[in-house]
Order: sequence, then structure tokens, then C-alpha cells
Amino acid sequence: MASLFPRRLLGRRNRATQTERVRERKHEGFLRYANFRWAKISGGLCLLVITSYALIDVTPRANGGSWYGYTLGTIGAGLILWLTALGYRKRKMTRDAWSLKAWTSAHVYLGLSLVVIGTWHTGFQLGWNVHTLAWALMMLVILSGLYGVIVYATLPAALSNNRDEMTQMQMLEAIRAFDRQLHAAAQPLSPEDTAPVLASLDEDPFAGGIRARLTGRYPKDATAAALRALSLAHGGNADARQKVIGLLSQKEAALARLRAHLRIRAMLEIWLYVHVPLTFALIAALSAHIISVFFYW
Amino acid sequence: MSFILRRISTTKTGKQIVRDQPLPGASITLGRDGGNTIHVADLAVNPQHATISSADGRHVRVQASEGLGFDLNGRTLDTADIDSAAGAELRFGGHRLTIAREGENIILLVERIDELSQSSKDVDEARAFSLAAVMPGRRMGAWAFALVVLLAFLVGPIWAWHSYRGVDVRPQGYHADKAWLSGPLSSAHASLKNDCQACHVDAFVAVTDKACVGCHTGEHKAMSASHADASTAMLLAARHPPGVGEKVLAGFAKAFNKPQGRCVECHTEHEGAGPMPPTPQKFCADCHDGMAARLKAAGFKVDVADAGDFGTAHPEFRPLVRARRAPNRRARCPARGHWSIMTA
Ligand code: HEM
Repeated sequence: MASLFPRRLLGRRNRATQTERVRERKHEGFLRYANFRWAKISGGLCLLVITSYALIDVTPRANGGSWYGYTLGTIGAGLILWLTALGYRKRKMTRDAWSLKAWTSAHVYLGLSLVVIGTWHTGFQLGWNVHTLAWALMMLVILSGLYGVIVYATLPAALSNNRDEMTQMQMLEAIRAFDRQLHAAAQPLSPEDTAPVLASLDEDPFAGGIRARLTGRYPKDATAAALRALSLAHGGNADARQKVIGLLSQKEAALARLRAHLRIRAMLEIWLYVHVPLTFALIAALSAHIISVFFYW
Repeated sequence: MSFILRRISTTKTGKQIVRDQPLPGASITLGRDGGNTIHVADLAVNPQHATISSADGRHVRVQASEGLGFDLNGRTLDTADIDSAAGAELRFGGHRLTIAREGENIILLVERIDELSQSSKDVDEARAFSLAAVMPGRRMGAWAFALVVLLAFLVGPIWAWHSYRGVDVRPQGYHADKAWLSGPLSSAHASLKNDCQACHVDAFVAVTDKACVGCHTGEHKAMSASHADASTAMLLAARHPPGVGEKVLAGFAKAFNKPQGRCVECHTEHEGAGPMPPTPQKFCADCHDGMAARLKAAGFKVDVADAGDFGTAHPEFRPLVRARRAPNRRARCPARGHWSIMTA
């Protein structure tokens, strides 16, 4: 299954770690697919639109309601629906001529050509109305797609560096091991000293919202707080405390690795939260746009 | 009577092993410190956490010693008196102490019920490491966005149109169908910008001449008898033969119920604020270039000469004497409806 997409690969629980490696090797596949076939087709289409627009003199003023505008609009709407079909297509992969790679390659390049088709369809008449809303949503979907392709091409290397041959479950396992050792090592501590250790044990390594995931910053991190508290503590069993401090800083390092991993994965995934919902908003706006034109014909 | 400490351990194969250990005395201690009768290795338990005693061999008193209490039936307590025959479950940190009675003995069962740490809980790998764990579902977002857009930009405008059907002038205020405005109205029509229905009267019916002449009573007639009096069929026959693009557009128009030869085809709206764009000269020539032959072919009587361009290919002006306006003698371009005063 020489597949290309991180998201697909990451999605399957049992294959997740094994396929993480595949992702890092294959991420470029769909861009160069068939010697840039779809890049050429899409580029040619754009060129055709731009030159014909310049040559054809639509009266009194270029807009979506001219015959030329209708043509571009029909092609554009058709393309948008077809691009959306990728979402469904992805879920039932086949190995025929229309492999996932071909499909994605076409999706990316034809999607980009919509910048020209959609914008030239407007005849550069934009305003605060449903027609421009559809155009703006289309542009946002395309921009988010562009971001997606860029991170797919650049971030997997960072992911691999951070992982350092560990799987993500091994990263979690390391934290679990430190927790067990901390729990044992902290038994002789006084109640005041155990409280911060307990807070560190009680902290979910996956806690933190979308902000924390994307920035990798966890200001209320209980393990860092425990380290600070125990470093300042006096009295009680100093030897045991020293051992706990050592374990806490090791746990902190393991947490940092896991959080860096979560951050890169978040950046690899965030764009889909724009791309997919805005696609549906786009289809809604597009429907309103088309219906409105015929409604107030 | 005696207290019996019961421990249950589970083997790798899942078999449970129960070990009972009689505890000496009528009063025992519980805590994290190794010196306690019941030693609970739990950081959430104090070194000397509680004393458990029984005066009569049946009723048990549990007394917390160091600030931290214990939980019983959802409440945190420092002291509790328990009838061992009825039994009870107490919570110390991550452990549960179950008190029960078997024969003459009071059984104390201690078990860890919480994970040792949050990280040791089971996780769904696919979800936990993914952004999906902290984001609302994409599907939800997709439907929510789509619904909002449909309500604001499809249902709202249609509702606005529906509510003012047959109303002559709409009240002031926002009307949702304004979101459909495809471009600013010309200055002459600017006052209509809140009232789409002034022109777009019926749904899916292209703007009719009726809407125009509702206000523009007679202007056209005064300006150009030939255009206003001409039948639509004649105006259509006069037009130049359509190019490929126009054939496509005509196909659209026919398929989507957009009749040809209406006022708005030359007098285009929504082309930007300011004066309505003059129907460009080229539009006149669209018909008047070679028109005579086409009209004749279509069976109309022709009394207008061809004009391909207003400046370079226009027939001479002919004097036109109008009986009723005798004092003025005007020359008239019979084609365009332009009057020019002759200084004869
Ligand atoms: C208006 C144009 C576009 C529409 C309507 C559209 C729509 C979609 C939809 C519905 C999906 C399926 C996502 C899912 O269910 O997981 C998708 C995936 C994708 N889109 Fe687009 N898209 C457009 C343009 C673009 C552009 C211009 C690019 C790149 C430059 C792009 C890149 C991608 C990629 C890489 C995926 C696959 C994500 C994955 O499976 O990991 N899209 N798109």
C-alpha cells in the first residue's frame, strides 16, 4: 500500500506507528505524479482562460452573466463538486488507473486552477454579497489546501527528527515509566513534598487545548511546577527528594518530546479543519449564488 | 473478634488470589509510612493517615489523623462510625477500603482503584495523538457552516421576497435579499436598492418590460417612436446574426426562461454606481449595420437606412416635419431617436 497521505496513515490505530515511516518517505509522490501531468493540464487551462478573457470582448462589461462568464462559472462549479468528491473517494481506495495518488494530484492542481477560473468568472467585480462570499470561501479553501501541501512536504522531516526512532506510543510509555518510578521514589517524602509530585502524576500528558497543541506551550505544566517546588524545599528526606528531582527532570524531557510531536502533528492536521468545513460552506454559498441568479433572473 | 486484612491480587492469567491476614489488637493504623498496620503505598495517602478501631467487635470507628480525611458515600469526612454488618466503602487517595463482616470477624479489604498516574490510563492512539482529540469534529463544523450560509443567504432572501410580494413599496430597514445584489445600481435607480422586487417581481421570471414602464411611462415613446412601437419580433429580427458566444447565451436564455428583446438587454443594470452606462454605440450598430436586408428578409416594411457607425457610416439626416409642432423644425435621426434642432 504505497500510499501518500499522512492523514490516512495516521488514522489507523494499529498501523499508525508502522506507517509513520512510510509517510516520511512518500510525501512528495502526488506532486510529481506522472511527470507533473496535472500541473500541466491545470496550467494550460489557466492560460486558456486568461488569454481568451483578454481576447473576447464581453459587452458592456465583463461579468459572470455574459456567455463567457456562464462558461467559466459552469466549469468552476463542476470542478468544486468534483474536488469535494475526493473526500468520499478517499474512503474507498482502489488500485486502478485512478489511484489515490493520481486523484490527489489532480485535486491539488485543478484546485489551484480554480483561482483563475473562479476569479476570472467574477470579471473582477467583487462586493459585499453572496456572490463574493462564494468566491472568498473558495479562495480560503484553496489557500488552506496550499498550506496543507506545503506542510506535508516540509513537516514530516521535523516529525522524524523529534521522534528519534521512537514511535509515539514509546514516547508515552517513557512517561509512564517515569511516573511509576516517581511514585515509588516519592514514598518517603513529607506530605508537603508529595503534593507537587502527585500533581505531576495526575496531569494528563495529552491535556491542553488547541492553543497548547499548536504553540507547544504549557504554562501550567505540573511537572515543571513540581521541579520548581522541590528544588526550593528544605527539611524532610533530602536524599529521597534529590532522587525525585532527577526523575522529574527526566519526565519533563520526555514530556517535551511528546509535546513537540503533538505540535507538529497539530500543524499537519489543522488545515483540514478549515479545508473541509469551509468546503461545505462554499457549496452552500455556491448554491445560494446560483439559485439567486435564477431567482432574480 | 479480630480485624482481618484482605488483599486480592490478580495473576497475569487473570486469576484472583485472596490472602487474609489477621491483625492484632482492637485498634490499627493506616498510612503511607511503612510503620502502619495497613501500609498503603499511595502518594495521595498521608504517612499516618487514619486509625481504625472497634470497641464492641462490630461497630468500627474510622478517625483521620492528619488533615486529609477520607471519602464515604461521596462526602469527605474526618470521622465515621460504621456498622460492619451493614458494610461500607471508604476512599483513601487512589485506594478503596471496604469494611465487611464475616462471622465474628471484621474484614478490611484494601485495593487500588485509580491508575497510578494519568499517563498510565489506556489511550486510543489514533485519537489521543491527533488534533481530533482537542477539536470539535470537522463534520459538525461542516454542517454548521453550511447551515448558517444557507439560512443567511438563501432562506433569508427568499423569505424577504415572499414577505413583500404584492407590496408596492418596502419599508425601510435591512432586507435579506440585499445580499443578492450583484453590483451597485445606477444613480437613477439608487433609491430602489432596498427593494429588489421593484424590478424582480416574480421568482425565476426575468425582469419584464412591465416593471420598466411601470415608472417610465411614455419616455421611450417620446424619444423613439420606432423602437417603442416596434414589435418585439421586429426588434429581434433586426439584430445582427449571432456569433458563437451569443448562440451559447441564447441557448442558456432559452433553456432558463429568459425572453429576448426586453428593455434591460440594452439598458443594463447592476453595472456600478453612477449614471447607467450608455448603451454603447456598438449596440446600435449591432442592429443597424445591415439591418434593412435582415428586416426585409423577415418580412417587415423597411424605411430606415443602414448605419454601421454614428460618425463614419451614418446616412444623412432627413428633415422631418411634424405637423403638431409646427414652430420647430427638427431633423431627426430616425434610428436612434436623437433630435437635433435644424437652423433652417
Ligand atoms: C475549491 C477548491 C477545493 C475544494 C472544494 C476542496 C475540497 C476538498 C475536500 C472535500 C477534501 C477531503 C478532505 C477530507 O475529507 O479529509 C480535500 C482534501 C484535500 N485537499 Fe482540497 N479542495 C480544494 C482545493 C484544494 C487545493 C487548491 C489544494 C492544494 C493546493 C488542496 C489540497 C488537498 C489535499 C492535499 C487534500 C487531502 C488531505 C488528506 O487526505 O490528507 N485542495 N479537499
